[in-house]
Amino acid sequence: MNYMKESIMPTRDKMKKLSQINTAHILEIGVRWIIGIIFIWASIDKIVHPQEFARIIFNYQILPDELINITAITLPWLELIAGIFLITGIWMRGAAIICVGLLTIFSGLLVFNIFRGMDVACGCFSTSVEYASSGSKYWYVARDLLFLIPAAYLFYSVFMKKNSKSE
Amino acid sequence: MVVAHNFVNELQRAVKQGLLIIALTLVISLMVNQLRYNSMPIVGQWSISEVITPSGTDISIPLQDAEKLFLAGSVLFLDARPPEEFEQGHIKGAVNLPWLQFDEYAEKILPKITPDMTVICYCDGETCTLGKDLAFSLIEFEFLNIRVLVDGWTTWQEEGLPTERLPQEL
Repeated sequence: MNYMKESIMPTRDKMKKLSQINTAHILEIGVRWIIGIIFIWASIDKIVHPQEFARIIFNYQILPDELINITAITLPWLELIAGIFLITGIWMRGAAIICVGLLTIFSGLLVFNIFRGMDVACGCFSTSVEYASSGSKYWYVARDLLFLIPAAYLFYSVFMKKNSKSE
Repeated sequence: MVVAHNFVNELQRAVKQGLLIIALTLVISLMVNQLRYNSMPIVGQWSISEVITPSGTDISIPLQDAEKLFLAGSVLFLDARPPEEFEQGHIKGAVNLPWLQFDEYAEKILPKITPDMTVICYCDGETCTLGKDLAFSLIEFEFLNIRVLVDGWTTWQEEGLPTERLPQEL
């Protein structure tokens, strides 16, 4: 009888663990929403103005000419779809790895351009091709590095934590 | 060992889902591109070794031809870069007409150029469009012999051709 009471009634440790799991779960959902909304927001102007986005990609001088247009056409849609899937939880692991991967690549490209001494428009959220001042390019890098923080947590939460209940 | 195995499994699952998302993206994006009114070609012409005017004429000039005209003294070089860059160094004898401050500089400089004078516009860098934009504007002002030296400043220096740092007056 005492044994049955102990197995049915939750212990203090079990309650604490449940509370931690709920907090972690809520945090993961919050991070998914933040990153998902960032990606959806970033994609809109680029989907509407692919020619302008293609010029920004050209100015980065990273891709061969043959890949510029196809990248300008598909990359914003990848951001949009990955952002939506991240929020809704559809193919969430795939969406997470795409979002984290893209954020890492974008941050790397901005840092690379600073080392090359290139003043190019970021193209992160807008297709406005302004000549970037030396101050604004450091702001772009700082902002993208900041986005990597929730991205790193998302990667950890989705792939490393045992008790991920996201899908 | 179990944790590592689970991580690998999760990653494999993520990669499969990622590839499916990319495939879906390709289908949707290419379909939308085909259907929209301002669709882009899948492969674009981005090389700026040619400078094609709206009427279809290529007004780019090879470096060797620009050099010949320079040595003959029968050309005016217009530097389309911002004044700070012009002052750091420019083609010898070039005049600064910064494209980004066109209205301010054009009043002083354009009256001194005759319509049949050979003018070569240039800026710096393979992606720079300042020289091209300046040239197109001059064509609209009905100047007849406007050319563009693509990536002019860098290629001029690489050939060891004459440069200077003093601002020039026309």
